[in-house]
Amino acid sequence: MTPFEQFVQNLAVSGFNFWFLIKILFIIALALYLAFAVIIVRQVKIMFETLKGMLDWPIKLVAWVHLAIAAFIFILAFIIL
Amino acid sequence: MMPDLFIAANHRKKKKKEMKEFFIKPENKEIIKDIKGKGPQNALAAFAIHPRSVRAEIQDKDEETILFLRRHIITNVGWMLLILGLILVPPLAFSFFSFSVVPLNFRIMGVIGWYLLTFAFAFERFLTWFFNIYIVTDERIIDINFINILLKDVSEMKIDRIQDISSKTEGFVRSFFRYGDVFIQTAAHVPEVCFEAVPYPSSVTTVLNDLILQEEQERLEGRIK
Repeated sequence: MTPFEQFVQNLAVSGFNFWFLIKILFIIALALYLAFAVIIVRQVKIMFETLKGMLDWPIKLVAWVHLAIAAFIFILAFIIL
Repeated sequence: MMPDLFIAANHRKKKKKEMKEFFIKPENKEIIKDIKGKGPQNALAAFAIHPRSVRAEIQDKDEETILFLRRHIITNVGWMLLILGLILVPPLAFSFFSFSVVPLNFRIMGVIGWYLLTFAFAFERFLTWFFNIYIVTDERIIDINFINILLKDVSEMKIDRIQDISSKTEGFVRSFFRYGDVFIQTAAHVPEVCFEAVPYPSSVTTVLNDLILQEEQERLEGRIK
């Protein structure tokens, strides 16, 4: 048994809900990531306003799909964790 | 028949025609022909001469875009290789360690989170490259910096403020792929502007020198804006 596995097992034996803490940390991290995805969408929009005439839809599409995936994973974390 | 005393309507057109001819001087023709064959004018192009559609927001309506530049695409290889390494981390980690103590749902979320962060890093690097642009117009140089996802910086400099231009290509990779830095010394509040890792730096220098000459010519003729 590795030291990490022993540490986790000790926490479980002592009654401390270690995985609940990890779940909370996961959700906080994913919420921050969701905010980051929103900023990317906003920033891409601003940059294409600064630079006109460039092919913008593929990058805008990637930014929006990325935001959708980030939102989906945020919800998924609530369901499966 | 009375002679024409004043013809104003064609003045601008004439100036534009003169300008186009100016930029394709016999000594520049070969350079431009050479570049045009190699620099495709697509969305990911790092070098474009007279791109018809691309304009910066701060450009005037009658201001013509002469050059469109960004870092050479080959400069992205470093972070692309890093991304490749990051993609391989979860399969390698699972082949070396069992992670049996970690519940399955946390393992799944861990892998998803890893790939999400990897994608975010790649997309941020790509956007930084894509939006770091230098535009040379017939009146000024526009430097658009997308430093990171939260910081955007647009600076401009009049062509007539340029004092000295030099270019530098050093190292095997830069010589092989024909890209380098162009340093522009100015009399403006920004003392030096650097076009980093742009393709064909010597040609960029030639075009900028031609623009300076044209500005001087305009000043002498008294038709400076």
